Amino acid sequence: MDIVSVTGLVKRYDDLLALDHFNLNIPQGEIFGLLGPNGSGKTTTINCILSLLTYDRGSISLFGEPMSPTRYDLKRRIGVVPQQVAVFNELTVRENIDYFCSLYVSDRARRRMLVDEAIEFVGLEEFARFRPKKLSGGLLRRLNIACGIAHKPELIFFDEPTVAVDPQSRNAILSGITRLRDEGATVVYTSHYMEEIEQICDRVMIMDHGVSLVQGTCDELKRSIKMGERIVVELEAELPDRDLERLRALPHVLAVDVEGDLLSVTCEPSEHNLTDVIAALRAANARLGRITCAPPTLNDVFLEITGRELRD
Amino acid sequence: MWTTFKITVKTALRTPSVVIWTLLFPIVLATVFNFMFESLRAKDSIDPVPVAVVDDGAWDDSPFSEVIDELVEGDEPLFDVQTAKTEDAARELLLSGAVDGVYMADEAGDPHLLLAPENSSVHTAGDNATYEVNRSIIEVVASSYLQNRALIDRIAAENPLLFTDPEAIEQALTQNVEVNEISLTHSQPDQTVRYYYALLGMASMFAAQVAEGMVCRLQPTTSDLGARRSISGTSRVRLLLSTLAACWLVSTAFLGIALLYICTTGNIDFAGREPICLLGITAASLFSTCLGALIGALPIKGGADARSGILTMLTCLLAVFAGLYGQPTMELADSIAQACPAAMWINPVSLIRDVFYSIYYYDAFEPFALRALMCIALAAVAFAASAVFFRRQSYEHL
Repeated sequence: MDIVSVTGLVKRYDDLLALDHFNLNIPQGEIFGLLGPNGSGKTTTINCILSLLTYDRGSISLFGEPMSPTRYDLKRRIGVVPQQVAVFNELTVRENIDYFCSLYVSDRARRRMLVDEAIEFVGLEEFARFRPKKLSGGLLRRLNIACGIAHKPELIFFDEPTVAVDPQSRNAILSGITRLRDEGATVVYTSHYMEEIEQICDRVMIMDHGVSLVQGTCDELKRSIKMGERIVVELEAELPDRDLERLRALPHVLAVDVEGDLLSVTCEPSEHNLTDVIAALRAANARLGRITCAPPTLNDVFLEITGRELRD
Repeated sequence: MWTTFKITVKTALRTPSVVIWTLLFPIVLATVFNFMFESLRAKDSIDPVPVAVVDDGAWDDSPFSEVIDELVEGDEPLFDVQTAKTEDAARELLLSGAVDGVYMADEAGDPHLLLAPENSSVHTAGDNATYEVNRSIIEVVASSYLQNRALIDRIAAENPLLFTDPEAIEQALTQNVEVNEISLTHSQPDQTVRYYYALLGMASMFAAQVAEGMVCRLQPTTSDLGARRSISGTSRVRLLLSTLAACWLVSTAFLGIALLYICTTGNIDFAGREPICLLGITAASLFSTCLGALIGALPIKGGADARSGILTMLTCLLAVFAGLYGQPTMELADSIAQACPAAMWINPVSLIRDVFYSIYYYDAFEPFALRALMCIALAAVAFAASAVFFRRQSYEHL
């Protein structure tokens, strides 16, 4: 059974079509990544699913049942970690987590246990009596997460939870999300950091202008494009145009770009791409520096589909 | 619901602006009023009148000196007497302003009176009103003595047998003029209390800020917290009700403290009707809470700050028409009340002011009950409107 099922969703903001017959299905127990540039419709999708936004057309089901603003029974099974840190500055860390947990769990004894677990989960034990103003950006994000997951929801939405977070806190957050999945939760994760998506998501949907461009596992997405690898060579001297043309004429080469002293050669999947490129450069008497060879990224997937960079 | 109620109370108590404007501001302003009205209240009790007597042989032999001696004795002496050896010395005391009049006696024992001349500095310096009162007292004492003396002389000439009946003589000498202070109102009337009641009305409006801020935190359109709470597993109506209940409690407590402060430091005596005052506070804070909820739920752009600005502006403006800012605005409020009595029932500051006014001035409870009921009715209207706005708002942001 799909935990989240969205069919033909249309959402307009006046003249702007934010979601255009959007479809989404997320099975239980996976981390599903929504990847797209700012304004692509990720947050709008989540807000529609949560009934925070009305929509013009389509249907949304959660846990196999239609979702509506008054389906508090369904809402109680959901956790949300919003993009903005949304906590009470006047309350301590523990009081904040306890309050947001109380919106889902009324039993005080059970809540005390859940709050303790949430504090431990995000590593805020030392800061339980602190007020949010005393916390760093990374610790605030952790508090934001604890407030969203303390009631042990079955479905959790993370909306760009690592924005403006230091690397140490980011790693802690990402490993925490993986643990939640391992404990049985279904996670919807939105970000425009493709490295994070690749790191933790079981399946990914790339969206732009309110439509789903492609979805699958990261490997499936990367295999779905023509590009197989990118070879980047550091050159000590500029390469003449005729040698660049010779490189472009090599079999399996899709594109050749020069940026400063870096030569980037994008190739189709092939076993001999690297040796072919190096042979061609040696034939051109080019003096070579460092050479790297990397498989395609999700940005390459997005670039090939849309002709734009994800971060454009 | 209980947790929302609890954290709303905690949050309000830990928000400096709430504590400053709702609790400290009325206390500070009441303290300012106390200082302002201290001198006015002091005039209610009469200080002993400073007089001089010319202590020569004639004064010692005069029966009038005994009358003055009697008036100097007791817990509340009428005169503060200074003794001068000669008339010139007494005149100097008078001209220097040390005394307001001089008594002396002639050889026949009859009293004579010296008062400061009209062009004297005594008339212009200091508190002229006090001088005029003192001067009247000095004159009345002397003239009363002379009248009694004339009466006794006439009895002696026309009906000397009456002296065998001391009671008749005493009755004849007693001026059957009895002045009783009676109050037409439940409490001792005091002009200054109006300012304190207008202040309570204004404080109630400031208390509306508590509810306004808290309702903003419930709405997805005005705060991230509102968005987060809107998608939680608790219904928005329950969140709204428990939040408003907490705001009502905080407002009632803060206004109750302000009232207690005013009653104790401003010496406003409700003559045993303090429990009714608490009822008034409860009704007033209910009204202000619902009004704050209405402003907080208004479907306007600009977030919580814009709504707070509207409420502050409204509070200050309505306080003008309730007469908070001194005599001119008090006269304006009176004029409006005469021209359009309904305005006093619609203006929240005036209405809340009049709730306390009716406790203070009326013997009957009906005027208070009517105004308290009006507060509750307006609260119900404000709550209904806020609930409609609250429900209709959706989170329409990209």
